[in-house]
Amino acid sequence: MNRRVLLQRLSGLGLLAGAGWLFKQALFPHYPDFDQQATWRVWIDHLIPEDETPGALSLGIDAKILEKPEYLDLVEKGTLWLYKTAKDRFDTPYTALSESETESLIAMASKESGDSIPNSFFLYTRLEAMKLYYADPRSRVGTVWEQNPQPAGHPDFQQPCHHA
Amino acid sequence: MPDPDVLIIGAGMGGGASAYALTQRGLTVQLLDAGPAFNPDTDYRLNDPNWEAERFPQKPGSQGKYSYGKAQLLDQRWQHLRSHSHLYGFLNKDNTRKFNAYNHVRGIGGSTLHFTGEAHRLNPASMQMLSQYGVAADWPVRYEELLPFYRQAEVQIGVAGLTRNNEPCPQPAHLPSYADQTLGKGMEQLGLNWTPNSLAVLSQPHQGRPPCNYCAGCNFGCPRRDKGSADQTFVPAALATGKCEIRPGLQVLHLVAGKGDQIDHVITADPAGNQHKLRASRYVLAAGAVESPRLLLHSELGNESGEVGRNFMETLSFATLGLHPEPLGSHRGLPSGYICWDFNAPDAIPGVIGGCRLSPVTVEAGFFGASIYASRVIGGWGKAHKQAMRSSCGNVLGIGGIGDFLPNPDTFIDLDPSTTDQHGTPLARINSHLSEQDIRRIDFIAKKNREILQAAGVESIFEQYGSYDFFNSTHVAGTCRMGINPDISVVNSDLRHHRWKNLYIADASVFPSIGGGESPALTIAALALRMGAAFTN
Repeated sequence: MNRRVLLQRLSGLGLLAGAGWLFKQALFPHYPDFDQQATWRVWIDHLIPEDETPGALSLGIDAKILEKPEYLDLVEKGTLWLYKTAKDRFDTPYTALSESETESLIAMASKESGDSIPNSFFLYTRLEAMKLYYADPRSRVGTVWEQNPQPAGHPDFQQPCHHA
Repeated sequence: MPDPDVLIIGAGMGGGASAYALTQRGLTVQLLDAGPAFNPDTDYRLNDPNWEAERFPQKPGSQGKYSYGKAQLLDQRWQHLRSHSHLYGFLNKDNTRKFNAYNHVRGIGGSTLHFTGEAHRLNPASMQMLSQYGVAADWPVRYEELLPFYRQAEVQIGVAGLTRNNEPCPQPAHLPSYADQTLGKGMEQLGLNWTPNSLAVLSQPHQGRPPCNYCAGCNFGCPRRDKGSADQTFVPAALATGKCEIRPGLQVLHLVAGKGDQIDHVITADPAGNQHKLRASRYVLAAGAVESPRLLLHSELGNESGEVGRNFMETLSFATLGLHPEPLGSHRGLPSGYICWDFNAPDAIPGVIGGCRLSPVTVEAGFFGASIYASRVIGGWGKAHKQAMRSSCGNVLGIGGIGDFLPNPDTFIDLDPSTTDQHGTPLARINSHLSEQDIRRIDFIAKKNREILQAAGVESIFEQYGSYDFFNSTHVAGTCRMGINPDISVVNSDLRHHRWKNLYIADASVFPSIGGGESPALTIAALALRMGAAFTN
């Protein structure tokens, strides 16, 4: 290979690399105030907040979901959608929204079409968060499931079940 | 141990009852199972705070592999029978039927380890489907011949309740849970009968086992041992004779033919893949209606009639679930404590051949704990969701039907031509097709379910799930049919193979028909006990 050909090839690679960078910036622009971790935590906190019983965050549900590799891509796309939609609608990052604004975004995600990113994000993260949260006995205080099914069983099974 | 008199392949209800019957008659047996042994004290989770995370525990080797044939196209006419959730819409979004699961357990006790405990005698009318209705096949055994063995099985297991024809079982019936009482009120309003189910669940102490304490967790594995799974009933009684050896973790790969139409030996493999040759005078195949035909087909043995694998009958079911305004506590009691047999006879459903039964389904459908309420019953999020959880938990009321399934040419088990298990054996392939009659039976069940729930006071139905758009089977039968004529059946009325003189089959694969929703476990046990008697006669 002579020097001219080599330079042409290097120059071509450089152009391609440059074009790739521009393409990536167009599709996935860098958002200096997008904090994925914080966005995710606010989302989970809003799904299952603290009241008489602990919220999902204090039971570590946000981290438990992220331990599952199948959720990583969905969480990345879903949180980005939250950030961008919050910016578009309220000109504020998602993490800085008011209670009612946050509520409006979660409602919006729940009503999007079934195969869209926001709806999938809502459905699947809600499903997983609920499953994991209520698997923890601390969440079940005040429900009929405060105790495990065994060893006591339910000797009162013939009577109505008044909630705790 | 020297070669036993009998080698039993499969340690579920058929294998367990066979071991019991044969050892009682002084024969020595080896009871093999491809799966592990379960210890109720350490394997079952109902004592664990995280009990809801896994239904029945999966241990290495406790699940067989299988594959599926072509999926059936769905029909717009039956759109209302599609499985649906108020939160997730259609659960099968395709235009073809989906294969969900063949629900089974491999291990000592087999699928009785996770069963609800229903111990039903078959309706005698369902044993004459060919002569009376022109479908399926007649049983070569009369109900009256089976009856003493039904009674023997009920005593050994400790069955509680009333039989289908209201005969008292050995143990008193369980009392109705509050949810069962509520369904009963709906039944009464509609003029339907609602009777205690016959259950392999103790209402009184029996043979050192305690009575049930109504946690409703039968499907999770019973840590108290009051549920009469084969490992708690027939197998310990067989072991107590000193003539039975159990060998978990051994999968039989081949039956090997010998001289004079006799099986000579079997080849087994342990979990590490080491192969062993085992020999006995006689062999009882009790691996269930999916695995028994698989073993015969793979061994290229026993299919002289061409019927092995054919006539597969699956579980035809439909469940409907709603929220009741009262605090029912439907997570308590027994999963299927009461039952309606009014439509069980083969001609009980207008315009359809083959009956059905109706019974509570709340717990069997999984609505038993907080996680499932949070994810499938209560919609929304936030504090409102948490509050709704507190006020609605235990209020789900569900009813379901299981119906007859008539054999058809497109529903069968064969060997998968392209997929094998870890030992290189082709998987059993499940081919399933619903006939118009089957779908109309589902339609009948779906309508009855709604009527009953409404009459019982359910305000809103949130989910329905059924066989129309999902293959999801627990009760399977028919693939080694018994009969008189060797040209169209595999075993005779004593369960002995028509050709292979020392080969017997003792599981639901021998059923010529499956009945109108009766659970098969007790009939499997009764047939095995009868086979044991024939062995030594």
